[in-house]
Amino acid sequence: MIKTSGLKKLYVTEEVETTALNNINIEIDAGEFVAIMGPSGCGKSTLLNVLGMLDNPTDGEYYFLDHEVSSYTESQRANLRKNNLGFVFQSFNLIDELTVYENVELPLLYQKVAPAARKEKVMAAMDQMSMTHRKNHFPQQLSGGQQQRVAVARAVVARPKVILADEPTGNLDSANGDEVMGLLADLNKDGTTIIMVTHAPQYAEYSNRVIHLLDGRVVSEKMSGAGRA
Amino acid sequence: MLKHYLISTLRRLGRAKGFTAINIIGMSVGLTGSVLALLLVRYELSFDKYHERLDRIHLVVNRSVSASGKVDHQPWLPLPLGPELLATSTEIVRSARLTLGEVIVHGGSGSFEEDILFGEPYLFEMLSFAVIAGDPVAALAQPDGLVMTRQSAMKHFGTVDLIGQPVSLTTEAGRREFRVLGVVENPPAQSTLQFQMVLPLQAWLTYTTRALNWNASNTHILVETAGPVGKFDLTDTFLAILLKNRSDRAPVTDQGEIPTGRRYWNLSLLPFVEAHLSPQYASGLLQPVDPQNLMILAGFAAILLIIAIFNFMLLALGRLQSRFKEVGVRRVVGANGADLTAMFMGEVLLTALFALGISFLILELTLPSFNKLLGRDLALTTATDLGFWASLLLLVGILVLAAGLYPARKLASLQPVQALHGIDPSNPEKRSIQLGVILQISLTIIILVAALVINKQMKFIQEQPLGFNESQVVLYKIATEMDELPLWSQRLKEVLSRDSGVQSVAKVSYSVNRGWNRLGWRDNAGKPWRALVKDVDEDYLKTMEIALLSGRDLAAQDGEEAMLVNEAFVEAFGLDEPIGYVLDGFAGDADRDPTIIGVFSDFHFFSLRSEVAPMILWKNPAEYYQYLLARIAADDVSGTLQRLGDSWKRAAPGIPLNYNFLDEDIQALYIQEQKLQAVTRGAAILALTLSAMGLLGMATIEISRRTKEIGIRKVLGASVPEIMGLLSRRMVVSSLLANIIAWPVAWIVMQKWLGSFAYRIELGPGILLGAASLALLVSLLTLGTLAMRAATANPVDSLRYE
Ligand SMILES: Nc1ncnc2c1ncn2[C@@H]1O[C@H](COP(=O)(O)OP(=O)(O)O)[C@@H](O)[C@H]1O
Ligand SMILES: [Mg+2]
Repeated sequence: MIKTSGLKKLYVTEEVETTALNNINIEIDAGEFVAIMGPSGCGKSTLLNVLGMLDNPTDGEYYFLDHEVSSYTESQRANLRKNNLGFVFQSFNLIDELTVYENVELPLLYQKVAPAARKEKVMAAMDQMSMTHRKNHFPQQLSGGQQQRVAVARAVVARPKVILADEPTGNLDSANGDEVMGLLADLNKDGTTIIMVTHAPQYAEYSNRVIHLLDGRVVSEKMSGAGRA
Repeated sequence: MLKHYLISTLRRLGRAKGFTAINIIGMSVGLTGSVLALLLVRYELSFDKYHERLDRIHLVVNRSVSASGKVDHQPWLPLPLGPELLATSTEIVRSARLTLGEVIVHGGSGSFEEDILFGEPYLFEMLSFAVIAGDPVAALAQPDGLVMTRQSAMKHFGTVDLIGQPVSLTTEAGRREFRVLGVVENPPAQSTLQFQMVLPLQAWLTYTTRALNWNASNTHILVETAGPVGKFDLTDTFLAILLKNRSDRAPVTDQGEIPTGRRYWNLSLLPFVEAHLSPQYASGLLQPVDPQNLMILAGFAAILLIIAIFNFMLLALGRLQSRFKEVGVRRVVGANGADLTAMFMGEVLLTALFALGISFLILELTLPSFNKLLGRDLALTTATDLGFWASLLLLVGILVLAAGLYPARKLASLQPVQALHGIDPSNPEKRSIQLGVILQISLTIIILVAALVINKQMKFIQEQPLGFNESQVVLYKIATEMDELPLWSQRLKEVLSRDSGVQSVAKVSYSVNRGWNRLGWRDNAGKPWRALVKDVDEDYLKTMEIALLSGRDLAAQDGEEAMLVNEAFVEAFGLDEPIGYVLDGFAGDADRDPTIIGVFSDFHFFSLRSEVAPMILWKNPAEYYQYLLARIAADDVSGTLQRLGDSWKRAAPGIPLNYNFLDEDIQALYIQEQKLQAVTRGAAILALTLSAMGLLGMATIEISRRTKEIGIRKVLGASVPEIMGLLSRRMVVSSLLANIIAWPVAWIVMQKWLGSFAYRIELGPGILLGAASLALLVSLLTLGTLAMRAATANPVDSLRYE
């Protein structure tokens, strides 16, 4: 489903040139739960952004569902993105002016889903995340854990093939963190591919494979937790 | 989707209340100005459009050129030209001559003096005035016919059912019976020709003596051509007529060249539809507007709108960063550039529509006073034509695009990762923001310069010594038939003089600025000269308090052989010894050779737009004095006026009491400028307020961005003034740089405006510096309060503000 070869990402600013990704060759199959780990600044987020087509690599090839997307324009990427990918971020990234319901609905709006179907899907996703009772609240009125559950609901509402999560538990206490991880694990069981960046070894356990990065390179890939079982 | 955008936009606007208010207020002021300008321009452009035969109706006009090359535009023409045109040209099928006069109407409810139009029958066939009763064409063909409008019929008789009604009128020729043979609707407000009553041209006193006289120009001539405008070249016809009847004014010599050293006429047709916008042909009958003033007004509206656009754009750019997260999220869930552009433009559109709604509200409230100021009846509700609404739509479209497109493009071009991380990829943005601020301040400075110049010029004019004392002088009109003027002017002068509150009374032919004749004589070499002449009696200089410089004043026993001249006269004709100089064959009468007996100091009798011309005062040989000038004592003016009114009514019950103050008359000369002054002052205040609001918004953004920096600097020991300086530096630099753009533009425009005044202020650096400092002061005050708050805040608070 996902395959990269010789993926490279350079950040050039006025003073320095940072090689955030260096010759990344990975392959991820449908249905996998992959965790990406490594110290701060090693390129985890950059990799996730490239895999999520939020950014183009500087060099190398990236096959997503057999499309070579490394040189796609932003609008081509946007098109692939909205039909196949869901995102969860450490800082939740909910839109403050929108209610819970409206935040979850957003991807469906851009996919031009008909109103009746939209309502059904939004209610289903919120139900799955147990957020239905908060549907008319604004993000600021929710706790961190609740906000992240809304973010997950938004990521899954369009039934994407892949969910990309960048430290989804980073801003949560352990109870809330556990809960969000449980949600992701459930989604994976239902067949959704999950790629997650995390610092916490105990959450890496939820995955079936851990990719370790250091200074923009893959240093090890091993089966873990769910994978070993 | 639409609903989603609408809801999220409304919530966002509601959150940033301050910025939303600045944007909506700014846009609504800009739009109000623009809609006003649009209404006014549309109004002025649609004069006379209702005449069915409009494409064939023209005014004959004269663009005469003097010996010195000066061009004079005149709609006044000799009476015989009308019939002569009909006789000579097959292309002119009908004509109507028109002139103005005054009559006293002895109606059902008393005697009233009224302005009156004298006209020929075809007037009512060529132009489409709605007929209520009777036949106005036939009425003007009768020697005693009379056409009344609905308004005058109602005023004098309380009914329009008047056909056959005898009406007693006192014209200059005496009191006579006329019969109402036509009643028409009032001329529409957008009609160049305005009248209350129309009498046959033959009823005009001087008609018979002047019907064949090519030397006096005292009529307007309206003609109808055989086909629409543009098909006719009547140059040859006009030339032939002039060669036959006034060869001295024909613009060719035998060699076919335009002669030099003498006056000649250029007759031509002015399409009637253009009359309203041809200020050069202003006359008592035609009261055109100056398109230049309309343009100045439209310019103010445009500047206000542009300032509002700048405000919006700058605030949007300044707050771009606060939208990054939202844009990033929308990108992540699948929005493309077009979606984001549409969203942002929708936001601008919504703001503009709110503003439009508010500006309609403002218009409802301000239109009455604006109408009063301009003497118009503009209304939104009468603007039912598509053109107006289409232009309005276009205007809103331009506003939305101009204000929103650039920030929208900026937002939409953000890459998702950059947006999510709040990275501003376009640091040069700061430069375009500063450029915007500079442009905006320079627009404000331009308006300020305009307002200061107009204000100063008006003050200058009002303080300029006129050469006479215009205060406490009352002008009484003697409305009676011409033959009785010698008797009544003398009798009423005595009546007024007898009052203890009256210091002196003079008889004059007209008020100060009206009633000037242009009469000529020949010098020793036989060369013809001309000067302005006014008929006055021996108390004129005394009553007006005009200084006598040499010689003696007119005396009671003087007749038409004595005259006074002004300094300009002495200078223009190079008289070394003016006293005793004889003007040979004065006023075309070979036997009349008056002598100059005194020289008085120059005084301004026209608007200060023009220079003092050579002038002559003498006694009217026929004693046709239509006015009395009374200088009254400053104490108890109203009591005096009351007594004078009572004495007048007792002495002359048949002559309506009709007076006004001379200084009001003189103010009326500057009515256009005063309107312009009021409008400019308003525009300047609005411009200054709008740009101050914009700067306030910019400063808020700047300071909130630098809160942390300010905190750190204070911890490190920066003083309050140092921080204020830091925060104000950029604003000061922008305000100063703005002058580089504003000064040349303002200087050129205002120099051109001042050019139309013969007596004018110097446009020196003072005004430019004044406007610059005012703009700087306002921006500093705006910024200062915010900067002060930021600078004096507890550093811990500002550091925590992360
Ligand atoms: N937009 C950017 N511009 C310049 N450098 C960047 C940018 N984003 C990330 N980097 C640099 O790239 C490297 C990898 O960053 P990132 O992928 O965010 O690391 P991680 O998520 O593993 O902490 C870091 O050195 C970071 O400073
Ligand atoms: Mg990271």
